Amino acid sequence: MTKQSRLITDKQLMFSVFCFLQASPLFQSLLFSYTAQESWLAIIPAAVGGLLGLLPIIYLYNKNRGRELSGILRNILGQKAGTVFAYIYLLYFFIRVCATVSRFSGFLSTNMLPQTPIIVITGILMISCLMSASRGGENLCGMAFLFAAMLLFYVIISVPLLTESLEINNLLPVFTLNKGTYTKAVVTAIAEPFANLMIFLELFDENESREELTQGYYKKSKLGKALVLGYMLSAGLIIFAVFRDNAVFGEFSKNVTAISFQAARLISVGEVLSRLELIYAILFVTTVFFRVSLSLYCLSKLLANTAERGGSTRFVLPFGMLVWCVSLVLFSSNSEMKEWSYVSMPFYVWIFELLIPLGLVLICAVKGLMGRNCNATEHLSKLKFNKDGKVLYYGTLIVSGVLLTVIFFCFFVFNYQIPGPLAPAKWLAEKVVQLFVR
Amino acid sequence: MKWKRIILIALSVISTTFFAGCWDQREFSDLAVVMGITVDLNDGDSEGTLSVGVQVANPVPYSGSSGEGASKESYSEFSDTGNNIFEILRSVTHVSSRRLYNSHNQIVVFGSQLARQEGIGGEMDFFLRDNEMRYSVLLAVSEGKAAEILAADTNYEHVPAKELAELIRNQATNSGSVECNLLDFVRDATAEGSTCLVPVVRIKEEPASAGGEESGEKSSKGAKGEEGGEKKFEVNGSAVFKGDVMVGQLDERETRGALWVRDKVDRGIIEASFDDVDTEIEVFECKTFTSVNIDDNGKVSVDIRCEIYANIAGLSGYEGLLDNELTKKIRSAASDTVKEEILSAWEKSKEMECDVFCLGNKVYKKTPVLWEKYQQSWQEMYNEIAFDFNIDINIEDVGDLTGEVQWKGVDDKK
Repeated sequence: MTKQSRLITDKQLMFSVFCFLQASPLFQSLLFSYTAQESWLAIIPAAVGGLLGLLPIIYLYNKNRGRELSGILRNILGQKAGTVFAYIYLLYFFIRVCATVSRFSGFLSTNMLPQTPIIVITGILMISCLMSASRGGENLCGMAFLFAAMLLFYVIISVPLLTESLEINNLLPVFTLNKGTYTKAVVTAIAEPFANLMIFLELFDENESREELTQGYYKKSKLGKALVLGYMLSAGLIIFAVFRDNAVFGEFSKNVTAISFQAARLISVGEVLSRLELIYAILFVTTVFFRVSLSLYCLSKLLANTAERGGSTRFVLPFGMLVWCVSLVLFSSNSEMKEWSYVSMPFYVWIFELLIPLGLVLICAVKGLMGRNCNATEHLSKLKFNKDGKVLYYGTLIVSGVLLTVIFFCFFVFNYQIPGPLAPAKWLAEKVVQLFVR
Repeated sequence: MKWKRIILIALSVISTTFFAGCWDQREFSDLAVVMGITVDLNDGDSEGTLSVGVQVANPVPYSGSSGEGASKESYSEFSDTGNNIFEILRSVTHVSSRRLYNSHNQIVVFGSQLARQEGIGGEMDFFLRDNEMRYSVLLAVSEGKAAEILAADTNYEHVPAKELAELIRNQATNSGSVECNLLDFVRDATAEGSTCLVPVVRIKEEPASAGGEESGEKSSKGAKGEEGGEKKFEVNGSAVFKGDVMVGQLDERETRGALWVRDKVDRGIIEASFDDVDTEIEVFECKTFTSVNIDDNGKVSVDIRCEIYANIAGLSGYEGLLDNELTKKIRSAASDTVKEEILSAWEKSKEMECDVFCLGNKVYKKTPVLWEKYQQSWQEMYNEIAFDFNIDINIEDVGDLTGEVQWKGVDDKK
C-alpha cells in the first residue's frame, strides 16, 4: 500500500464536501424544468432531505472507525455479501463518474467548444484528473479550500452584478403546482445535487482521526461535524444560486437549459465588466475536475481494498482510461444524457446513496438488539502491493488501454463511427452500461 | 514506476500533439461580427415569408476623420429571404467569406407588419435558443420596414445598429420609451396577465443642412431622403405585445403612464402648469407601489402609491422667491400630470384590449387561484377599474436659482 505521509484534516474534508457537491448544481436544469419559478421553494426541503441522508453515512463511519467502504460493508453484511456490495458500489461510482464526465463534455461542446471533438474535451480533463488523483486523497483535498473560495466569491459577487435583471417578484407565484410535481422536484433535487456523499466513506480512513487510532487512543471524532458543515455551506450556496436564477428568469426558468451559465452571460457592468461566463466556465471545469479526480482516487482505492490487492492509487490510471472510454459511449447524444439525468439517475442515487446506507444502519441496529456488536475500530490495512495486485493492475491497464486505443481510432480514423467488426463489442458494452443507466 | 512514467510521457506527447490545435479558435479576421439584425415580413417577389437583414461591423481603424481608415465602410449589410431565420442567416455564407458571429449582436429590430400580423414568437425561438446569442440583446419594433432602420444615418457611432442600441439604452433619461431585451420580452410575454412593451423606432427625415460637415459631426454612410435630407432614426413610444403579437402602440406620454404603474420609471421630466406658472421638474428617483383589490362583485380597485423624488429644472411666470406655498402648488400640478399620463395609458389600453399595467399579472402572482377565477373576464374588469392615486412628489432641490430671473426690458420686446 502506498504510504500516506499526511492525513486529511477535518477542514480539508469539509471543503472537499463543499466542492464535490458544487460540481453538480453547475449542471442543474432538471429542478427548474419541474418547478420553474418555484424551484427555490423545492430546493429548501431537498437540502434538508439531503442533510438527513448524510446522517447514516456519519453513523456508519462512527460505528466502523478506521475502515473504508468495503471494510464497513464486510463488517456489517459479512465477508461475501460485503464484497459483492462493494463491487456493486464500485460499478455505481464508476457509472456516476462516467456520467459526470459525459455531462461535462456535453455542456462544453454545446456552449463553449462546439468545434472540438468530445474525445479531446474529455481527454484533456481525464489527463489532468489522472495526474491529480494519482497523487493521493490528501493532495486532492488540500486543493479544495482554494476552489471553494473561488466558488463562494463568484456566486456571491454575481448577485450585485445582476441587479438590473434581478426582480424579487419573479419568485412568485408559489404553490401553483400539484403535490406530485413538488414531490418529484424534491426527490430529484435530493438525488442531484445533495445526496452524493457515499463515496466519501472511502476517504474517512485517511482522516486525521486515523492518527489517534494508530496511537491506540480514541476520542470523539469531529469528522461528522466537518461533513455536516461542508454540506450546509454547499447547500446554502446552492440555495442562494437557485434564488438568484429564479429571480432573474422567473417563469422562464423552466425553459433554460444551463440556467446559471445564462445568468452569467447577462452580467454587463458599463459594457466593461462583461463576458463573465468565462469565469463561470473556469469554475465549472475546476469543480468537475475536483469531483472526477476524487472519484477516480476513491474508485481505485475501493477496488484495491475490495480485491485486497493494496495500493490505493494503483488503479487510478486504468480507471481513468476506462472512464474516458465509457463516457464517450455512455450516451449517444446530449439529449439522451439529459433524459437519463431527469428520469433514471435519481432512482439509482436514492438506492445507493440513501436506501442502502439506511438499510446498513438498520442492520447495525438489529445486530445490536441481537447482542452482536456492529462496532469496529479496526487496525488499518497493511496490505502490500503483491504479485496478485500486479496481475490485476496490469490486466486492467491492458484492457483499458486497448479499449481507449480502439475508441481513439474510431473517433479519428473512422470518422467518429464505431466500425462494423467492433459493433458487437459496442452493443455488448452498451447493454452492460444500460443495465445500470436505465 | 518506470512504466507509469513512460505512460505519462506518452500521454503528454499525445495531448500536446493532438490537443493543442485549438479546434475552437476563432480568429477575429475570420469572423463577421453581427451588430444588428432586422426581421421583416417578406412582401416582395422572392421566395419565403421572412426577409432578414444583418449588419456586420467591418474591422477598420475608426480613429481620425481622414486617412485610409475613414475612407472605408464601417459596416456591411447582408439580406436574404426565406422561411426561417436560421436558414436565412446561414445563407449569408453564400455571399460572405466570413462566418456570422452573433455573440456581439446589439439589437434585433422587427418590422411592425410582421409583429402585428404574424407575431414574433417563431423568430424569438431562434434568438433564445441560439448558443451565441445573449439574452441581453435589445429588441425594437420599427414603424415601417425594419430593414430601412439600420440603413439610417448616424450621429456618433460608425455602425447604425450600435447607435440605435445606445439610443434605446438612453431612453431611461426621459422614460418616454422603454428598454427591452430578449429576457425582458420572454419574461413578460409568457407571464399570465401581462403585456410587453418594446421600443418603437422610426425614420425621421431631417432637412438637408448646409453646415452639417462643418459642424464636426461625423456620419457614416446612410440613406438620403427624397428631399436630400439625412434619414435618422428616432426612438419614441412603445409597441404593446400581448403574447408574441403586437396589438397596438403607445405614444411617449402613454408609455410613461404605463411605466409609472409598472415601476419602471427611472428618470424623466414632468411638465406642470398652474396660475400662469410653467414648471418642469426632473425626476431622479421613483418608486411605485401598486395594489390590486377585487371585491366580491368582481369590481377591481387599484391603489397606486407613487413616491417621486425630483428637482426643479425650470420655472417661468412667477415673481418672487420659491417658497413652500409655490412648492406645494408645483407638487400638486406635477402630481396631476402623472395621473393624467397614467389615465391616458389606461384609456389607450382599453382600446387595444390589453392590460398595459400588468395588473392581471399582479393578481396572478399574489393569488393564483383568484386569477384563475377572473382570468376570462379580466379585460371587462380592467375596463372598469377604479383608481386611487397617491402621488407623492418630493422636491429635493431647486437648482441654482431660488426664483425666476426677472429680465429687464422683456415687456418692451413684447
